Order: sequence, then C-alpha cells, then structure tokens
Amino acid sequence: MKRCMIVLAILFLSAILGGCYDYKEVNHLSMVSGIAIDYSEILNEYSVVIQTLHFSGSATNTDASPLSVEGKGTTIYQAVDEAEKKIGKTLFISQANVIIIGENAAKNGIFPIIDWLLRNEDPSYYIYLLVASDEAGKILMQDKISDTITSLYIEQALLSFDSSSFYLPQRLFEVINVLEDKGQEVMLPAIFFEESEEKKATISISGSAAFKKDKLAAYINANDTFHLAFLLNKISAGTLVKKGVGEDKDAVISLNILSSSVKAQAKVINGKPFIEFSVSPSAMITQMNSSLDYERFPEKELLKKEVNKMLEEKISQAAKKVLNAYKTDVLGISKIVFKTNEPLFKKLGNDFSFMDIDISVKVNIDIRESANIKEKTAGE
Amino acid sequence: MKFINNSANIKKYINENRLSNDIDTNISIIKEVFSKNDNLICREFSGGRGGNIRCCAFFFDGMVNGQSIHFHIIKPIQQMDSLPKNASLFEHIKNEVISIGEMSEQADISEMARGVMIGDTLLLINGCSKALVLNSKGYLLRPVMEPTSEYILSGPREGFNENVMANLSLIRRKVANEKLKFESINLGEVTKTAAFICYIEGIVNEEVLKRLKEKLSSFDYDSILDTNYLKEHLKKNRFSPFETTGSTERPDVVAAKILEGRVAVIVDGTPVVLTVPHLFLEPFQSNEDYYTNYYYGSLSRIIRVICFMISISLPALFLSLATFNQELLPQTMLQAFAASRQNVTFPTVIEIIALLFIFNALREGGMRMPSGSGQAFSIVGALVLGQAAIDARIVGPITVVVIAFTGISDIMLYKLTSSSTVVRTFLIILSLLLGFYGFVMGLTAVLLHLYSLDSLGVPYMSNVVVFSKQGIKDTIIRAPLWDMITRPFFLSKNRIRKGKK
Repeated sequence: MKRCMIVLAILFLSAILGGCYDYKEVNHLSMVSGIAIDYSEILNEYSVVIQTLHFSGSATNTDASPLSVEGKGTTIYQAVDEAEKKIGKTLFISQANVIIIGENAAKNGIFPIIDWLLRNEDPSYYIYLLVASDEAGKILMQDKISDTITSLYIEQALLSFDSSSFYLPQRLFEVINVLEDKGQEVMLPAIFFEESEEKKATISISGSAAFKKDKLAAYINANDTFHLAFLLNKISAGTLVKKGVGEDKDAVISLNILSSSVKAQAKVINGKPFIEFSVSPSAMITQMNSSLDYERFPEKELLKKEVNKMLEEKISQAAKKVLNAYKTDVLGISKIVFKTNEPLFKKLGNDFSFMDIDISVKVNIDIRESANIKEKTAGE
Repeated sequence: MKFINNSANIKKYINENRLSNDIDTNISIIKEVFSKNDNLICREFSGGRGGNIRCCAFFFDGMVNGQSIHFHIIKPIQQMDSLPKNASLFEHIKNEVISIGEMSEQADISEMARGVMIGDTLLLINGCSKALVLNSKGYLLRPVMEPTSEYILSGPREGFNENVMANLSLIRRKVANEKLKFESINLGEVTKTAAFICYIEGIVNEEVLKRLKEKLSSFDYDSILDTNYLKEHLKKNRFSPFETTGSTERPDVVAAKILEGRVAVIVDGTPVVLTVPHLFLEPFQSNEDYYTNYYYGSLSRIIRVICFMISISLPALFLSLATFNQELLPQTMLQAFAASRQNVTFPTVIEIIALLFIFNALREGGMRMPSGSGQAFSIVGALVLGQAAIDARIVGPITVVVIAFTGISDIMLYKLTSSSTVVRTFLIILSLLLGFYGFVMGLTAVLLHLYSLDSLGVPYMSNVVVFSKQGIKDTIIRAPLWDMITRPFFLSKNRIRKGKK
C-alpha cells in the first residue's frame, strides 16, 4: 500500500509540476523544410527565408505544398521570429532538410548560424548546409523546382551525390566536428541559382565553398572538388575519361570509380617536410573506344599506368591550388602532420603554416573488367 | 405435543451431528438437514424375509446413476435372505449385499450430507446409528474436448473438464509413474471444494512445494469456484498486474510443467489447472512450440515477445513521439503524420484513449455475443468505427493503425491481456505527462517491478536472466529436444533429464 501511495504521489506530482509541459500537437506546428540565411553588410541585418510545408486535402490523401516566408532582424533569431509571426504557427526546425547560407552571410561567418541552430530547443545535427553563390533567399522563394518542393529537391540532390562526387554534402554535425577539430577547414557544397528569361528557375549544386575558420574564403570548382575528394577519402563514385593511351592516340576509355581509399603520411626528406598521399581507387571500364583490348595484359597495365599519372597530376594541381592559391587548409594538413608524425609536428611548433608543407600524391588504381551492372543510384 | 417433542429430538441429533438407532427418526433428521431441497429423493424399502429389514436411500435427482442404485443397492437388499446368526446387520449389508465399489461408513451427519451433495447415495439401515455413503455419482459432465482458449494446430487435443477425478486421470495417463503424487486438500470454508496438489517426487522443487502447502492451508475464503480464487491468494505482491501463477486447461501442458519440477493444483469444478512457480517468459511459450519444428517454435516465441512489447508500449511510444518529441521521428513519417492530422477533431491522446476503449469494447462484445451476430458486429467495428471515423476526421488514420497493431499484438497473448492493459495504461499516462522521458521512466519502473517479483520464492525473471548455455535453451528460443539436457536450475535440483541411459 505504501508503494502504491508513492507511485500515485509521483504521478500526481508529475501531473501538477510537469502538467503536460511541451505537449504540442503536430498539426499545430509548421514543418520547416528549408532555411535560407542572408546578411546585408550595409543594413547590418540578417534576412531569413523559411520554407515550410503545408498540408491540404482529405485525411487519407493529403498534398504538401510549400510556403516561403521572409523575416528580417539584427540577429538570426529575431529574423526567424518575425517569419514565425507571419506564419502564425510554431516553427518546427528539427526536421528541416537544408540550410542555404548566402554568400555575404558566409563571408560574415557561419559561427552565428551554427550558434543559433544549436541553441534551438530541438537542434537537428543531420541538416545539410550549403553555400549559395548569391542570395540564398532567392532559392527558397522558388516554391518548386521540377515539380518538387525546392528544399526537398536540394536534399534529394545531396542524397544522390554518390553518383557524381562533384560536391561533398556536409551535415551540421560534420561541420561542427571540423570546426572543433583544429587543423582543418570547412568545405561546404556550393549551390547556384539561375533564372531564365521565361522566368524558369534552375538550380545546380556544383563544387564547394572553402572556408577559412568560419568565413568563406573561395569557391572550388566541380572538377577540383572531385579530385580533392580522393584526398579527403570521400569518393564514392565518379567517372574518369582517358583520351589516348600510349601510342594509341585515338583511344577513349571511360572508367567508373567504385571506391577509393587514401593513406596520408607526413615525412621529412632532405630536411623538407611533406605529406605523401597514397590513393587507391578501384574502377571498372564502362566504355572503350579503341581497336585494342584494354581488359587484357599488357594493354591493361599501360592503361593503369597512364590513369595513375593523370590522376596524380590532377589531384596535385587541385590540392596545390586550394592550399597555395586559396590559402585554406581543407585537406587538414596540420592534422595529418600531428596524427602521422608527432615528432615532426613538435619540431615545426604550433604556429607552422600548412603552406610550408609540400604534398606528393601517388595513385595506384585497380582497374577491373567491364562493368555493365552498376549499383543502384539513390531514389531507385 | 408429540410432534413438538419429536422436532426437538431431531434438532438435538443434528446439533450433536449424529444419528439415532431408529430409522424413522434418522429419516426425519436427514429430511430436516436437506429441508427445502425438493430434488432430494428419499426411497424407503425393505428386505429380508418378511421385509423385516427396513432401509432408506437418499440421493439427489439428476446427480446419481439410477441403474447403479437400483441394481447394486436396492435390489440386492430387497432380495437378501434373513440375517445369518451372530452377524451384524450393518456389516452384513456393507460386506455381502451391496455391490458398489466405493463406499464409506459415516456416523457424522455433515459428512453424510456432503456425500449426498456430490452425487453419492446415503443408505440408512434400521437399528443402526451409522450410515453408508455409496458412490453412485452419475451427473452429466462435459466430455474431454479441446479447450477453446488454447487451440493448437498439432499435438494432443484433449483438455480438462470440470470433474477433478477425470482431470487427475488425464494427467496420470501422461505421466504413468509411481512417483507422480496427488495430495488431496479441501478448500473453501463453505464449499469444501476438493483440490489436489500434483507433483513428481524427486523432481519437484521441495521449497516451492512446502511454500505452496503453507499458502493453501492458510486459504480462508468461504468458497472456491475457480482456480483464479487461488491465484490471487498465492500472489505475494497483491497489487502487481503480472501473474505469478500459471494456468492451463491442457493435460499435456501440466505434465510438461510438473516434469520440469513445477507443482500443479487441480480444483474440482473448473477445467483450469494452476501451475507454480510461474515465471515471466512462460506465457510466451506454447506447448505447440515443442510439437513443431524448433526453428518455427523459436521464431514463434520471439514474435510473441515482440508482440508483447508492442502491445504494452506502442500507443505510449506513439503518443510521446507524436506530441512531445517529434524530432525523434523520421522526417517522412513525421510529414505523413502531420498530413494525416490536418483538421482532425480530437487531440492525439483522446484519439488513443477512445480507440483503445472502442477496441476493448469490440473485443469484449465479440467474446460474449451470440455467434449469429458476428457478421454485423464486424461490419460495425471495422467499417463504421474505422473508416467512417477517419473520413469524418474524428481520428487520424495513423492512430487507427497504431491501435489496430496494438490490438492484434494484444490478442495474440490473451493470457497477458490483463497485465498488458494495466502496463499500457500506466505508460500512456506517463507519456502524456512527461513525453518520451515519461515513457522511458515508465518502462524502467515496469522492469524494476518485474525484477522485484517472485513466484513462491523463485524470482519471476529467473528465466530471463540466464547466462548458461543449457539454461537459455528453453527461454525465448526453443532449442532441439536432443540438445535440452537439463531442467531449469531454478525449478529442480534433479537437473539431468536426458542421457541417463
């Protein structure tokens, strides 16, 4: 009986002290699917476009339609609050799909954006972050792209990145990890918006936006992003085309990358520190326009050698461009030195610049036979 | 005046609980004991040469075998010769005239009355202050048939009925061993119902047997009409929704349980037999698991456990996720849920409670209604209350799916329905108050409660917390019989059950 009284007391106290606090019906919430954040240096204010999903129809056959609302304020919270008032329902941000950061906002720094996201009552660490080459709000003000709600369309594109590797999707938790982890800079996918004369809007995700600390430093084009992905160990698919193999100048061989792994090691040779990247991709021949059979020895060895050389050059060029021209350590050079050669890291001291470290790339591709059966692409 | 004296005389004998030597007085005594019982038959007859031996048989119409009374009691007495010299009339009739197998001498009026009430015939003989209670039971009994609540696809079809003796015979047929013991005990101050404690000597857990006997001897309720009366008495934690005694209507189940070291209690008047100790995983185990392929048996058990989990937790989990912690739902599910809840009249919690109420009402109605109304009932239940309620936006379709799934899971384990209903309600209340935290808190409390229970001294969760290779073989899975070498350690000290030859 005493135990029974204790249980009843707990339930009673829970009821009067808790009182169903935080009880919210899902139809009283406004489902946010995408957020676009812009910053105006002149006005010193943020402009936030919130794209929400609104449902209509019968209980069993409901259609979702987008509703985009803009809010402005000195802080992101204030801007979002204004947008929320316009919508008239509590915004539910936890399940938002994408956050698009405008170029100016990215240049101003992404710390305030991440800070606002993490202070949200239900932060979603799985939300995708992108950087728009222009104003981010314009993108989400478009209700639909190809008959799909814009924010959902962008998310689908990011989910199917497996088939291209021309951009590297980043979720919030990955960005936070990189920012917290000293020795590497953030790289977010870049999104471009175009509106044709017939007012037909198109968007494309291509390449990356490289950051220095939390500020946008430069854009990396799609090809360079693809080659950097080998060093970042984020290659999951992609196509390599080799024109001319040895004496066979007319040969055109297309290879589909299946996977790739990378090993990085900081070394010192002749007193000069450098990092050696050993990239081991595996690929299948998807098209072969040649009179020779590159699936057989010795042509296969020759093809392998030339593809290795081609990749080594392209990857090195891309890496050097990012490190020396853009001056951003998206490859995590400092981190690699620390992890793979601690004595060297200590010798260089904490203040060494990643630009002082040279890099060398070695590729050893594994070319398999002809590939007709491919993996399913996302959405199939 | 004579009548008053006679009446006082009879009351005196009744108070003293004994008979007189005069048969007329004794007839009056028995008639007085059974006064206002119009189906009591009093058959006076005489035998011996010249009819000098007067007798009277008492029995209840409809409870006796008339042929047996006629051919083995009345006729032999009527046709008997005169009494041999120096012979006692009572002993002569008992030993040489009546040809009934089971009989007893009784001088005690209450014991005579008890015999008559259970279908025996009371024979009064002139000049004797004792009477014979002769077994002439012949009441109608339900035949041995398959229990409707424990259908199986393959395996023995017989089930217990309401006759305790028939039930004992069913068990003895399964376990033909002299170590199988049936200890008799009468329960209920008023009903004096016959009950038997059944176990196998040498295998039984002696501690459990001792505790059971102590518990049964302290049973002081006036009646016992079903074994559930005992269930509540044997429960240590009286407020727990979980059963710590098992029940079955199948002799093969009882035989299997006592062969593992358990004790069975068989009560007259009910086909339900109790088994103790009863542990947590037992309701998930069916006798059919042993009669079918062990892969299928194991899979069935796992499905039952999952269904129990769903049955107790799904509505509360759904409530907490749908109204408090939406961020934990997958995005597409949340969107589907948000879409389905547009313009729905009631809040989710009211939907859940209302649908659970309707489901329970339908189930209760389905169980007790005449079979002819079934079709109409299904139409009303499935169409009117399901589809129409969704179309009228009284409830959301996802809530209906959740409650339907809960209902199906619940029906699968009918023996756990009472406990799962209590736990489910408890979890719904906590989820309503505290969301997902409340749900987890509730589950933890239920788990702690389960670990605090015991069934006659054996921890209730003994068969869950098993780490030995042999011990785990008959728990959530059913290992092949050739690999089940030992009995559960918590049930019997005589552990080896295979490989003695």
